[in-house]
Amino acid sequence: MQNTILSLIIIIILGACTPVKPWQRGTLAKEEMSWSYDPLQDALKTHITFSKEGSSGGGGSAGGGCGCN
Amino acid sequence: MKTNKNTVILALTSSAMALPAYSNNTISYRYSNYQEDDVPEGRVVTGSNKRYDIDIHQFRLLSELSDNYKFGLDIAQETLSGASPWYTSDPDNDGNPDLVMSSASIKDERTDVNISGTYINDKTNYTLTLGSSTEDDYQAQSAGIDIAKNFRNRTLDSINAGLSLSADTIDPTNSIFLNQDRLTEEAEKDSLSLYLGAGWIINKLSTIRSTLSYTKLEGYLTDPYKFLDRRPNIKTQWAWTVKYRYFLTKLSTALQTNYRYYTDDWGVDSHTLETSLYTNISESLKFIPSFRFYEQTAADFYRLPGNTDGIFYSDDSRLSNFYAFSGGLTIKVKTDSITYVISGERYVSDGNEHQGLVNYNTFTIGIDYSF
Repeated sequence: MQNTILSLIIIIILGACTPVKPWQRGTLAKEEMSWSYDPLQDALKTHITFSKEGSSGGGGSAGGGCGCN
Repeated sequence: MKTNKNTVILALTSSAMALPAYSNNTISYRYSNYQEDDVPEGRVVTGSNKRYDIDIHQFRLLSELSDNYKFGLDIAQETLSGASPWYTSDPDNDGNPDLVMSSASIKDERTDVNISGTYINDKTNYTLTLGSSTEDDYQAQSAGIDIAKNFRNRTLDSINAGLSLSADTIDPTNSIFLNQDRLTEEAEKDSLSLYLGAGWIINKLSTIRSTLSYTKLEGYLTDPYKFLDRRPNIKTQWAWTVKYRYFLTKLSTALQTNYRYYTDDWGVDSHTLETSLYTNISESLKFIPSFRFYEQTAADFYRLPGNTDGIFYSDDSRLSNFYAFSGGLTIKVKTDSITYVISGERYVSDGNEHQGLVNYNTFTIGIDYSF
């Protein structure tokens, strides 16, 4: 049910998309709008949660494992 | 006329020689400390109640070698000490299991190296990554390919896809705190991961990205240091993530929200919601508070002591049903070529009586230098 609701929200958001010319994308190019504003910190958080929780993945390439227990 | 033409040529030549050779490089370093809370002494049957204390050093080099080629190098080195839960026991028969911990302090080191090369062809980036992780009892070799296609004049901004493989070798060190099967020779674990994602520009101030990933693991998946663990030798997992970015112009702040739904064939389902507010206090000072909520269901074969029957069994808290909250703050100070970073986070988990659930603090300082 939760994923169905999320999917509907996404569809509504995409329906509201307006065309943006390349010269209008200055704000979108800011660091604060990036998918990761600190890749090293994100890599560490991903490693920690992989070790301490029962879930993983969803962030792109999986990379190698570890013996973290 | 001839004199003016020679002057122009001389000026252009001089200017070209004064330009630096083509390069755009960034070197980054982070030091982090990870510290788990101790287990309450009254909840330890035997062994040490001191949990993990880990120091982590991360190095990164990113270099644009030319218009078409980029190079990346990541090195992470960890030094770990502390005790680990071996199994659970309920000697008081009060329904609240306690922990049997490893007694002597574990000391271990891990080094992880990843090298990447990116080829940029017009609007498409192709990245090859090779990785190697080494520690006393575990080695992992990985390789991955990522493709990102960008669309400059469309609402559909990008499509991303990738494949990665990992071949892991487990060789438990000399320890008395082993699984009851006492793995006496090397075991292997292989994984295959695929993902496909797309990003859209909603308007001048907001974007959204969605990614679906699939991972299959095969081989020795049991924890060799958990006494009673008996896990399947195959695991299939799916993860769906959605990331949303919205810029609040009047506050000069970007709202960053990430959501992930995860499910696997061991019975674990989870939801993760993360939110950050990247706030520009000034041109050089950035405050980034963050918040994360996580909840998961238990694996089908997870049980606490009292019923260890069945083909598969685990009393590992990481496979139990629990939820977790974490909150943190990152501060960045930027100059022309250097960014200083300091951050801290507190993580708290709960949801059942398992004393193995962790609470921890992390602290990070670092620097990014572009040249």
